[in-house]
Amino acid sequence: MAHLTSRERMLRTINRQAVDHFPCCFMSFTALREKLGDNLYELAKAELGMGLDAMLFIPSTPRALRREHPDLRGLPVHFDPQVKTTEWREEVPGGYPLLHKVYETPAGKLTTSIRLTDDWRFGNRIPFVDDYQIPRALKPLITEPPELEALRYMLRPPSEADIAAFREEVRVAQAFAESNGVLLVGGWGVGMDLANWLCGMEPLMFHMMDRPGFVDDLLEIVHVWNLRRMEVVLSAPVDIFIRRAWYEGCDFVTPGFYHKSILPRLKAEVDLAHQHGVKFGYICSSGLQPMLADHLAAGLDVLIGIDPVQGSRTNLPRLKKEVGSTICLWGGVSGAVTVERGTEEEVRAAVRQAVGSLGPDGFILSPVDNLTVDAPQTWRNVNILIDEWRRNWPTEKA
Amino acid sequence: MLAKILHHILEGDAPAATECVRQALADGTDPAVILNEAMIAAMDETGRRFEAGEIYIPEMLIAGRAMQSALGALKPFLVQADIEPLGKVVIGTVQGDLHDIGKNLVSLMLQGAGFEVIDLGTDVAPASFVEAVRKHQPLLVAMSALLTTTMINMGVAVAALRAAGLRDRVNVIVGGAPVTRQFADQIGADLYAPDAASAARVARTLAERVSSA
Repeated sequence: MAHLTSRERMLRTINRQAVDHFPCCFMSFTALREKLGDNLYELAKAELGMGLDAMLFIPSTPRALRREHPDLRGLPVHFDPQVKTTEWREEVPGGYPLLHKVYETPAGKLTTSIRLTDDWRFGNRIPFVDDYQIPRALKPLITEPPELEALRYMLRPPSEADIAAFREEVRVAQAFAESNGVLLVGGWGVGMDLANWLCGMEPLMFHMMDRPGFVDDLLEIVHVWNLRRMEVVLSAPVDIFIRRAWYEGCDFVTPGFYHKSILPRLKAEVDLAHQHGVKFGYICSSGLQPMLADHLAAGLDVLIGIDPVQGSRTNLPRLKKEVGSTICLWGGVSGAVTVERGTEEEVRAAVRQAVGSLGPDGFILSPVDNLTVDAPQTWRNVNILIDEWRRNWPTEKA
Repeated sequence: MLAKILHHILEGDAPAATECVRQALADGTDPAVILNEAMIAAMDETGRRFEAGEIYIPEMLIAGRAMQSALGALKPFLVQADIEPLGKVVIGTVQGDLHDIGKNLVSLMLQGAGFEVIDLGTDVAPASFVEAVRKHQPLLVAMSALLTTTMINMGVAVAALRAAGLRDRVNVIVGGAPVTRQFADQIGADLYAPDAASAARVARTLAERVSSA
């Protein structure tokens, strides 16, 4: 088969068409991204230069500029102009100082407090939502159902200025994707991940079990907001829309709740992407197995984040057997355990196991879910992973 | 009544489980029987269901919460009847790591298995593990970490126990998402558990081995 561009290879893999060889595209590569100043265009070029497949994610706003939502890639998060914010620091003798934040909305106040640990990344400031603040939160933002009315003022649809800025980037991104032959990716959608940031992980699990209607109402607010953001992103010629769903596996959600409260909304979002001719990818790296029937019912095109080591209850052959003929599987090797800490033979064995179990059709190889450690062992093992990937390409038949 | 307590714990109904414990005590049921045949049995069943993939972490959390509430009602009677726990466990998330769900689940399952748990919380310095071992003389120290950047502090804590001359007096079990058996061996831990249910099982096996030695 003739050599394909990376975009063609990725799309054909997702569509289950013949490819020159199965792709290897790192779903997240923080160690390299940070070396490149958080520039996603440079990241895609660097990955292509390493012989990898690559994608360009839009909007490409760097993390430092996503002040209110560092861990939620995508369009800016906007509060209603009527929302007033107050923030202050409290010294605690013998303990970590505290940071408090109050959002005053026309529907009431939302408050949060966090411990200002030595490794706090945001100075004397608490972002609206972020992965980092959950374990440091003494009081999460949402604790009771009446607060949901106030939350509506915090989740406003994209502004005209945001939409214009996004369209401006689309022109540049599309030209880049075409000239470099890379996949154009839009996102992120979000569901339970946002609920976790707002409520805290353990409290959210208790809410889900004790008063599921409360969490369902919260997810509906997030869903409506999500759809508005999706409509903007899907107006661009993206190849695939991605929803982050790290907290939608069975480590955080019961299959029953997933089926009742997450599936219908997820399906509506997948349908919306499909109406725009866009594929739908879903990032969930742990606790997938009990939800697979719902993933099929939702119509997912790609499951991103298949982690054989840290993914609880992840069984690669079973996964392939249950959904592999319909859903493209992306991942296969543990980033944190195998690539960042493993020996050469462990990396090679992990690649062979991933290819043998998940591939070669409908499979995109990647460390999961990220490579964050910028150390010689990481870079050595990245090269080994790439070498082993190439060794597993099909050979031309005589 | 014992069956009802067991049922309510499995269902995660804390008020009902606690009320049934009070009723059982009022009826004159031996506190040890309530502990062993209802509460420990319920948490054993919770662990079994979790390991079999019949329930998941949220269900395990509410079962643990119900068990803890019921245990609160039972505890004074256990003390009065001189019923000793299976052993003491000092538990904590290691220094630099603030994640506590995994640690809390292990703590609940250990309590449900009959252990007394001294929970040091999160971001626990090696010196605090050393101090707690000196003070409480536990059978086991349980260390948790969620991050690859903090799991190395498990090794630092194990080394601190060794330097303090306490390593031979206590067993160390480690766990957490990035932790593997291989890593546990590398840092010189005695035991490894991939999840909360197996942590309780491993701890109980250890306690039985020690008591029969």
